[in-house]
Amino acid sequence: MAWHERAPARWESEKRIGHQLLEDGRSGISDDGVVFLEGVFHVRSRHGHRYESVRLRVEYPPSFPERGTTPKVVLLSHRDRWKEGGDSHINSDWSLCLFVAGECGIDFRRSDSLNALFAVTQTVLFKEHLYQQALVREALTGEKAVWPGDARSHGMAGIAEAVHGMGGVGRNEACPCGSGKKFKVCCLRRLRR
Amino acid sequence: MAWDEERSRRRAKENDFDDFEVDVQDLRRTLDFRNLSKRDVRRAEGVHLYVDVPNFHSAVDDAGNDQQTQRKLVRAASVLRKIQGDLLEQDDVGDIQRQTVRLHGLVYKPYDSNEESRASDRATAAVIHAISQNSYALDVFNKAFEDVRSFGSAVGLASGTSYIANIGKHGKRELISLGSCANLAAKALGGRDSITVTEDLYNDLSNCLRRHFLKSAVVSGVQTYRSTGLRWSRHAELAEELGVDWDGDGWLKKTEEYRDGLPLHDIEISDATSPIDLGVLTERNCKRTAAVAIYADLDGFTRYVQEAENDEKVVSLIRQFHMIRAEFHAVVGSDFDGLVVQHRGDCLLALLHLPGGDGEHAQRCRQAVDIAIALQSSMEHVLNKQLEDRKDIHLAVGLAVGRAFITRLGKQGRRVSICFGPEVSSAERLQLRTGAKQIRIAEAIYSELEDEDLRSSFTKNSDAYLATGLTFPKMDRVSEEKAARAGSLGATVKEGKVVVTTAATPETGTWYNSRPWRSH
Repeated sequence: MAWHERAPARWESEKRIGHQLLEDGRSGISDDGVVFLEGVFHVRSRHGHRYESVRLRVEYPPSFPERGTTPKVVLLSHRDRWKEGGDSHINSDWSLCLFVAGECGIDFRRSDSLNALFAVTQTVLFKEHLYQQALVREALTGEKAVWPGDARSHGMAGIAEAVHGMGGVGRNEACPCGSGKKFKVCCLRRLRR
Repeated sequence: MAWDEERSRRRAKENDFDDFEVDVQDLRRTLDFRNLSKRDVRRAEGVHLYVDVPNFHSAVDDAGNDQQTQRKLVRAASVLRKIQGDLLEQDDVGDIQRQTVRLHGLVYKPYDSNEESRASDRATAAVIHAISQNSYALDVFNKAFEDVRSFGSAVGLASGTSYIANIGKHGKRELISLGSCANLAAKALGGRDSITVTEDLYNDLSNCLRRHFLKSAVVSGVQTYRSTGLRWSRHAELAEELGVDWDGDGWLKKTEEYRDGLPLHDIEISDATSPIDLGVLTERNCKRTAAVAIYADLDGFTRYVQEAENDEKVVSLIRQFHMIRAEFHAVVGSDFDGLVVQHRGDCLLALLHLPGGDGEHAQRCRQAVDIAIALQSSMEHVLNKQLEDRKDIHLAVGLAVGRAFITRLGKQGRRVSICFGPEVSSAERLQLRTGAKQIRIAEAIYSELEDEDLRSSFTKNSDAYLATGLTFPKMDRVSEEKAARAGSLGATVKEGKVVVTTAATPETGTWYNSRPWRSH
């Protein structure tokens, strides 16, 4: 049974929040069984100026909302304008690297956690907007584009930084990478290696 | 209380007046502009005339904050206004707008301008009226009002075609004249006891009048001619030649009647402790308040009117004017707690007087600067996107802080709000020196600004501070980028809306530092 069938009230809550924050929003289950919300998210300034309007898809893992799993936010638009990879914090599948799940501070068991996810998405996408402009400048002037603000290192180094930042993670706790597995059977082994 | 671009954009869409039908007709006997509805526009050929008291600002300075002197000034302004109206009526001159002591009239009779003789008749009638206005103020009014500074009087006149529209809300009469001739008449105004006319008008004058004028300055590219000291008391032979029967004693008697009908003790002046309701103010019920005066002038609008070759374009401009005006009113009165006092053509005068009390001075100054930035933001980021091909309309804003005196003069149903005070005059002067997309603020306001980014947007310019191109979206971009780099950019969702903050910390509870990570 898919998670949204196990927790229909939660799914309703997710859809309600999604429809408030996504224009032209829709929700459903993809052919490969992924529960999703989709729509246009406006990245706005404090006074409502629109920096970007991006089409996003929030994809839920099968075990959501338990075991420390987090939804994935995938960029459907801007693929012709923005560059993924490098320091862009956009993965090759166009999902956004929003945070190291374990240190994001969002409790996804809470029914309003999608609000926090969108809040993070807002700040990351604003930074992405700046970074992509810096990439264009880099191409024109050679001035190196730098991600604006703090970011964890790529790959396992980032997990190590997060674990350190969290003051350590217990072996049986959920892995901070957001896989849904225990730390000891996931990143802990790789970190030891 | 804040400006929001999305909200502003929604308002502009709702107020685009694209279904607003406007009927443009030539001004004629059966279609004058006395009872114009919001949909009627009159194309008028005639002479625009501005009458002003050039030293009224000094009289305002004399009054300062002394209640009794303010009463005297209100009474003087009220009586002057009444007699100005009587003179307009006597000479059959159209009453376009009355500001504090400034009058804008239109000599449009005889109708239909196609014949040269009619243009000449109108020019002569307009100058006769100008002489009467100056004669009244300088020879009659000042005799009856020795308790205030002796008022000067000056008249500026220009002829041409203009469009008269009623932009008043809720059935109120608030006329606006679109066209360069009205602006030219205002700009041509000279000093005490002067009458200034444009070259076209000068050429239309009869010889007996023309000989009293000398070539003067070029104003907005137009040669002007000026006469000084042209009053009926000094030129009885001219009055006779023109058939004018000037009754100075009669006007003095009327003035004294009006003056005595408004005893000083009947004029109540109170300090505003709650939002001022303009609707209840009369010359007998006036308000004083600590306030920031805001003048915002549309730069470039007149040029489009001038360039409008056909009625269709004029109609489109009038629709756009309604949209701009509606948005500015919403910014001042809905986004903030400001008070729109008056429109002077395409210039808006507003006050920010709340929260009350001198102790809230700093807060008022900061919020008034926010209003100025909000007006610029609406103009540059919202309205200019709706103005189709007319992208060169911008705003110039002037701000000064001090005390303002507000009341309404005139008969019931036709009362006009007036507002004065030394700093109200300063705000106007600051705005007049300000160009498109600029905000000029008095030093007293600048010194209350705390936000470093905002302070650094202004540069000292003479006795004031000037910012160019300052809008909230631009400021947001700078402050949010700075916060992103410093790790204090955050956001939260409130009532279905993302709210951004640049001062997020783990303690604020706002989701603060995203620290993204590349999983591979």
